[in-house]
Amino acid sequence: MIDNILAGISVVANFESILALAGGVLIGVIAGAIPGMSATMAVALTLPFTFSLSPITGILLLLGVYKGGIFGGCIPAILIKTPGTPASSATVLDGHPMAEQGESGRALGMALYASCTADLISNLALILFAGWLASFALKFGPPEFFTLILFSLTIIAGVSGASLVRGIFSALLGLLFATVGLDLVYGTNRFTMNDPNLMGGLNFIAVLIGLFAIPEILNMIWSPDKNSGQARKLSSAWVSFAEYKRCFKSIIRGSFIGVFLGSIPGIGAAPAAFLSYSEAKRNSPNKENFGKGEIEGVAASEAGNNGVAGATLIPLLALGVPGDVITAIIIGAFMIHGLQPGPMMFLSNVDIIYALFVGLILSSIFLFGIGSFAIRGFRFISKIPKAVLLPSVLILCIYGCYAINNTLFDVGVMFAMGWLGFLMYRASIPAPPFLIAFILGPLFEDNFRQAMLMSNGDMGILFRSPITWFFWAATLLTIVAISKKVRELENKPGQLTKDVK
Amino acid sequence: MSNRALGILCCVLAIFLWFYAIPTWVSAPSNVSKVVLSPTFWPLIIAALIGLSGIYLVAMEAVQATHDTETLEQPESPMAGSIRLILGAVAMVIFLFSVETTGLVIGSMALFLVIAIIITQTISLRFVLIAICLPIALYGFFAHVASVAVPQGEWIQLP
Repeated sequence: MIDNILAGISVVANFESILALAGGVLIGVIAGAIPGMSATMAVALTLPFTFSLSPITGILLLLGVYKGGIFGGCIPAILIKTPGTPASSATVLDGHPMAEQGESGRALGMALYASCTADLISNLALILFAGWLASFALKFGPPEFFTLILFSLTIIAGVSGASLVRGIFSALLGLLFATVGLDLVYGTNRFTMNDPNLMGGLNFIAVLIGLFAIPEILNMIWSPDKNSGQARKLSSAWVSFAEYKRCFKSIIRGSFIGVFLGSIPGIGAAPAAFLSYSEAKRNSPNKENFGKGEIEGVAASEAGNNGVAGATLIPLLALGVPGDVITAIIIGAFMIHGLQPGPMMFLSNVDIIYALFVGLILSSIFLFGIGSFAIRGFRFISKIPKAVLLPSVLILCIYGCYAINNTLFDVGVMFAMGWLGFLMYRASIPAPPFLIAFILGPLFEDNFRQAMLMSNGDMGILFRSPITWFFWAATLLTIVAISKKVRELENKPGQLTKDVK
Repeated sequence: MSNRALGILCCVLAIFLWFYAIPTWVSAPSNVSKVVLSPTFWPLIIAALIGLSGIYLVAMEAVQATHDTETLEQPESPMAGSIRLILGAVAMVIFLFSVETTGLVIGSMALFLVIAIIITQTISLRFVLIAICLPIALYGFFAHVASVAVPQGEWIQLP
C-alpha cells in the first residue's frame, strides 16, 4: 500500500501533472460559472486537448475540469439565481436569498468550504473502497460483466428526466448507433454502407461533442437568448470559522449522502444535493429559516453535490462502468490513452491508479485556492456574451473533433450528431441515455456474445454464479422501483417530459 | 412532440430497420450456427425494442391522453428562427465541403463570423478580432504542440 502510494506520488510529482490538474480545476470552475456551459460540455471540449499529453496528465486535467465544474455551478446559482449546473439547483434556494440580503460573500465562502470538505471526503471514500471492489470484480467473467452492464444500463432511468420511455428510446438509438462498424465476432459490415470511414464505428468523441455542445449552439441560433440575469455584487463579508463549525455536521452528513448516492451508477449530483438539503433542514435548529437565506442550507446542498464527485469514480475505476455522464466521457479518455478502467487496471496499472488518487487529493486543495479566486472573478466571466461564447465553442469543437483522427469525416459526424441532438431536444428526448448506451453498448454486446460462445448458445450461463444472480436481482429491483416511479408520474399530468435536457 | 407522434415515429423506424436496413446493411455469414451469435441478432433486438417503445407510447396516449406539456423556448418569430437554422445548416455544409480548399483556419474564421452574424444580425470589430485570433491560436496549439496535421488549404500556408 505504502509502496503504491509512493509510486503514485512519483508519477504525479512533476510540473506537467500539477499544472494540468490546476489548469483543469480553473477551466472547470470557469465553465461551471458560465450559465449555458456545463461541467459535461467542459469535460467534452477539454478531451481533445489531452491527446498530446501523457495518460496520467490528460486524465488529471479532465478530473480537474470535472471537480471544478461541479463547484463552479454554485457561483451563478448564488449571484444570478441561475444554476451553472443542474447539481447547483438546491444551492439557489438559500444562496440567492443570501445574495439579495447583501451576504453573497458569506454564501460563496461557505459554498467553497463545504465543497472542498465534501470533495476531500469523497476522494478518501474512493481510495478506501475502489480497491476493495476491484479485487472482488477480478472474479468476473463475460456472464458476470454482461449482468453488471445490464444493471448499469439502469443508469438510464436516472438521466431520463421525467419521461422514462423517451429515455429508453434515446438509449435504444444509442445502442443502434453503437452497432455501426465491423461485427465484433465475424468482422462483417454492419451499417457501414461499405464506407471505410465507418468500419471502425462512429467516433466516440465526435458523437459526444455533437450531442452535448452543438445543440446548445443550434438552440442559440433558433432562439437567441438575451436574458443573462442580473448579477449581485460580491459583498466584502466572508464566512467565519464559527459559521463553518456550526454547519460542520450538515457538511459531513451531506458529504456521506453524496458519497453513497455517487457510488450508485446513475443517481448523480442533483438528487444528492436535494437530499442533503432536506436532511439538513429536518435536523437544523434553524429549519424555519431554510429557503430564506440560511447559510446551513448552502453548506448542505454544496456538500451533497460535491460529495458525489469522487464517489462516481468508484464504479469507474473498480468495475469499468460509469457513475454518470461525465465519468462516461472520462472512460472514453482512458480508452483513448490505451487504458481500460476496471479491476485489471488495479493489477496492470496500479501506479496510474494511485497517481489518480494522489491527484484527486491535490485537486481538493487546488479547488480551494482556485475557487476563492474564481468567486472574485465571476463578474468578468459572466459578462462574456453568448453570441461570442457559442461560436467560439463551435470552433473549439471543430478543431477538437478533427484532431482525433486527422479526418474531416469526424467533423461531419459531429455536425450530424449535433443536429440529431438538437432534434431530440426539441422532441423532449433526453440525450444522456443515448451517450451512456452508446458507450456501454459494445461492452454489453461483446460480453453477451463471448458468454454465448463459451456456452455454445446456452442462455443458462447468464445465471451461472451468485454474482450474476445478484446483478439480475439488482436489475429487477431497480426496474420495479422505476416502474413505480413512472406510474406516479403518469398520474401527474404535465410531469412527463420536464427536465429532459 | 406528443407521445403519439413519437410512438408512430418509433414504429416506423422499427419497421424500416427490421425489413429494410438490417437485411440490406448488416452482413451475416451463412454458416452461423446459433442465432444469438449472428451479427444481425443485436440490431434485430434493438429494432424490436424500438417498436415496443413506440407501441407503448401510442397506447399510453390512447389510454391516459397524456400530452407533452413542456414549454421549450420559442423565438419571437418561428419563421425567422427556422430561416436562421437553415442558414446555420447551410454554413456548416459549405464549411465541411470547402475546408480542403480554404483550410481549417480560414474556414473556421468564416464559420465563426457567419454564425455570430446569424445570431446577432450585426457585425462588430470584436467578432472580427475573435474570428481571426481564435482559429490561429487553436492552429498554433494543435499544429505545433499536439502535432496534428491541420489542413492548410490552397490559399495560404501558415508556419
